[in-house]
Amino acid sequence: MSRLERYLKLSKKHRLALVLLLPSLAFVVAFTYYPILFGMWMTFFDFFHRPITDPVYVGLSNYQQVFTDDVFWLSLRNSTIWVAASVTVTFLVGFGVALLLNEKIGPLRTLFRGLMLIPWATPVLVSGLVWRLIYSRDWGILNETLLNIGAISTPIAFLSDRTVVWPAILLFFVWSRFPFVSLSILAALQSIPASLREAALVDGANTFQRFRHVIIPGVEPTIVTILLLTTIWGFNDFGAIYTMTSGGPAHFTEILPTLAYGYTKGYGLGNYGRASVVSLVLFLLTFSVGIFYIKRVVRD
Amino acid sequence: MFVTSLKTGGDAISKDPSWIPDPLTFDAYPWVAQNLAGSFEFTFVVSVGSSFLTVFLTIFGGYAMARLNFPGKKALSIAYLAGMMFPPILIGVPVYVLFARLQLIDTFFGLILVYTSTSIPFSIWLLRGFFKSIPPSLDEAALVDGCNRIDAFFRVILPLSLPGLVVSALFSFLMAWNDTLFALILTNENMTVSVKMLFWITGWYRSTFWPGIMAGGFLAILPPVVIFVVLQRRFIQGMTAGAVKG
Repeated sequence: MSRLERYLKLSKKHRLALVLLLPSLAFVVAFTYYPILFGMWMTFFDFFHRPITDPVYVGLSNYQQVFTDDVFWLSLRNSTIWVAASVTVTFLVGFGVALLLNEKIGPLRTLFRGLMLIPWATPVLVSGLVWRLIYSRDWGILNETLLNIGAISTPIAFLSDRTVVWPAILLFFVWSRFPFVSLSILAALQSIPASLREAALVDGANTFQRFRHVIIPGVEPTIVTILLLTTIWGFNDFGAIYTMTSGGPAHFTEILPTLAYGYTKGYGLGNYGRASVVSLVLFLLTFSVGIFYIKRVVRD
Repeated sequence: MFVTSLKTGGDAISKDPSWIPDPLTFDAYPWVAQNLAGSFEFTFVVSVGSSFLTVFLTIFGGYAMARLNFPGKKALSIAYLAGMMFPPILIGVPVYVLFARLQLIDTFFGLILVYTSTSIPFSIWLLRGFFKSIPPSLDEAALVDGCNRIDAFFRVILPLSLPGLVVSALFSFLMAWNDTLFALILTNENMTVSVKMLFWITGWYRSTFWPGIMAGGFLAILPPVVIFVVLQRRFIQGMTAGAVKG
């Protein structure tokens, strides 16, 4: 039967639903799904130094170039280690802060919650710049302070010295991202009925036991969700590392997203084919984690 | 640590960092006004534009998701959810190519389109929650009183869900204002505030007028922080509702 007939056969309610959803759905499809498919198509073409409307079909050549490029494997390695480290540290810090905030501190709690939102709310580019300044070897506040208290004798180039650059970036990242973890866990902690905790106290449980049997079960779903989300975001995060080091020095801190950006607008100017390959790899990584998240949400 | 770096820089300061600025001047601000005005305008238009567009589109979608049941609804939720999860880069590179062909680079319109589509999934989810919290009995009452469904929607539901709409609008605004990747990829000349500042420090438009840079940073942070502080409670609710319930 023709489309029109099928449409007319839909119940009135279903027709309404279709009309209501169409605009937003169309948008999402047009600007999310379609580009992704287009991106996959692009991996088979060479765009390098060619007019953008006239790429050349090169089969798997882009893939070959990317997979034989050492920088790619370095980025991949960096991405994975970075995600593991950043997620863990952010989670631990966030959890710790949440536990602290859960104590009875009255108005202080609102104050801290507000303060904590500042790192989360500021655009990464801006807060990144501020931190770059702090880390600066020549006029950075951090070096100045360390020198003054005698902890070091010569300034450290935090962002170009390979031994300290990753921890430096990590510090910035955790500062910027932990509020989300903290606030979410705090909300979960506060939804644990006080009666439960009191009952445990009455039953003679010590702090550790209370933690294990009352708190953990209460926040477990939240924790899993947060870990999944932060992992996904960790893989995709572009701003934090790019503002700190742009992937330098000499690709040392390059991760997959910055690599893809590099192929697009940076040094490998206009190599969209290769950029798409890198993006595709990134997508596969993200997706494998994302599936778990989707499954969880769909459960209700 | 949080904001002090910005404050000290907002006034004239020498190379030796000190906590209290010695000659306290606001000279930096006119300079900022001159150099950043264009960027601010651009960023502002883009953020507001995408915010309005997002809310407008998702009102309908959110309502449908909240009230109506139809085949494929679950699949649709998954589609939206997945939409939230794709790496921006994955979308960014193709979008750049597509937009370049369509001459949408560097335009208000291009960025608005992109930001809107990235905020839509979250907004739908948010509004769906809000609509759900309005009892269906109100729908029924309106229908009984003689409205058809569309009327009922505009006269009854919409006004009630205004807080939700506001939250959604502000959140979309925030996402656009704070964005890094798309702002970098999709603009060359017309830059957003954040991008322009990045370039001040790292290269293209190298500038050493630190107080000015800091003043700019302070202004750039102002909208998001103000929005966040004002809506603290709602945001936390929004952010955590999904997480807590799994």
